[in-house]
Amino acid sequence: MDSFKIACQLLPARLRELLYGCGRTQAEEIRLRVGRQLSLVINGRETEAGGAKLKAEELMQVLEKATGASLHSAAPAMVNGYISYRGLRIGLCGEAAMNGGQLLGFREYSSLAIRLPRECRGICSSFIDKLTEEGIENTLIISPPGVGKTTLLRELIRVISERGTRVSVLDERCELSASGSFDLGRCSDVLTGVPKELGASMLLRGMNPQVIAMDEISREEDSKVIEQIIGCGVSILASAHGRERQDMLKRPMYRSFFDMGFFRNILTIYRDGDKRRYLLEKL
Amino acid sequence: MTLHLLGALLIAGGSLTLGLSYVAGEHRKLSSLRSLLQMLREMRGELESRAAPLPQLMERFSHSSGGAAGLFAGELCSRLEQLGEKEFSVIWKESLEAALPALDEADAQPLRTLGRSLGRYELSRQLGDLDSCIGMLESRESACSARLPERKRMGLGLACSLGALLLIVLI
Repeated sequence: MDSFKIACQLLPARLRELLYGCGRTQAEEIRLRVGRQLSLVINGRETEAGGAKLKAEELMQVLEKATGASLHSAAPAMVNGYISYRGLRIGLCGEAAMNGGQLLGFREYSSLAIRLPRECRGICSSFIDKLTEEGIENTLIISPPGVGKTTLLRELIRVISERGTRVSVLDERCELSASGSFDLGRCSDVLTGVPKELGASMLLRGMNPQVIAMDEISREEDSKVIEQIIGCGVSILASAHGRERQDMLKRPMYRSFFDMGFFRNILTIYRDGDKRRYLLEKL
Repeated sequence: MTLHLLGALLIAGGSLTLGLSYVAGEHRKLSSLRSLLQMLREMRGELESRAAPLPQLMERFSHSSGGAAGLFAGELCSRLEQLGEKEFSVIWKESLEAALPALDEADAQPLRTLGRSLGRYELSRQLGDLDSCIGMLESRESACSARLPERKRMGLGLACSLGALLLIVLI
């Protein structure tokens, strides 16, 4: 089932009908804000879908559906600012409940952003041969949020795996595979719901990977994971938030990656009107 | 004479049944409270120890709990498919009304209040609300339990007195 339909099922009947009615199945995100109309993000631009303004209880209904009325069970994921539902990422905003610097959950919700993962076959066809001409080397995909890092990573995994390379996918938030909704190729093994530190060790010990793929490396702990993987002679496909490589160099963790020569390929995604452009740099 | 005797027996039997059914009602009320309290205590333990998801808990209670708690949990489980269209607190309240229509308002009120917090807020707040609900139902249960013998005597006594009065009047 595609992510748009899954998202529609998550919404109360009134909003579901509104979404089906506007037929914008190409939407990248569905945004819900209390006191505003439901809106859709298409090609980075947000447009309202019409209908009555959203009520707080409608946001609550979405969250209760997504968590089986058990937001407390999703609290560990909320620390990252979102919860996952069948491969969808639901970003949360509202009045947080904190204790001793630790996020306990939310008292009230004011906005939800439902990101719709998609499969875009063929998007790496223009550069895949150049990327893999010396085998699968460590590759970092860079773009700002919402431009398509995960989509490109998913397609790269599929193509490389279809060519016979064993790719272990460390899918911490279940977004790359979307609970099996997306085809990641014939030689892919997917590990979901496990933190990167633990997952990397599990994959290295158990799955004999040639490549490990993971989405969004951003924390200090992630750098240790990358060192561990590269130290074992396994290649990495990863993604990170950033506009371009120069931006990344301003952040100590990424600067150390580049200084140590961890990544041999940098793939930067640019938005060009309604299209995406991909720039491959070989370091 | 035989008819008089038969009438007297019927009146005595009816009065006794009335008294006994009143006593059984009191017993049912007490056993409902105990069953619900048991469920809430287990729920508290499961939430505190492993932040268990509510559908999983209610499914378990619907099979493992007897009496009122089992009925309520079963009713709630059957209505959980409405999640997304109705808030959980509404489903909880409707399940309470459908499964336990005879529950006293004073017993139902803390449960309804609890339904507005469960699954929605941070765990510490849910546990606090559970404690508060358990506390209220425990005091109701103690009071109900303490006055049961007295109610038994009163119910049976009143029923027998009514029967005797009717006998005297009619015979």
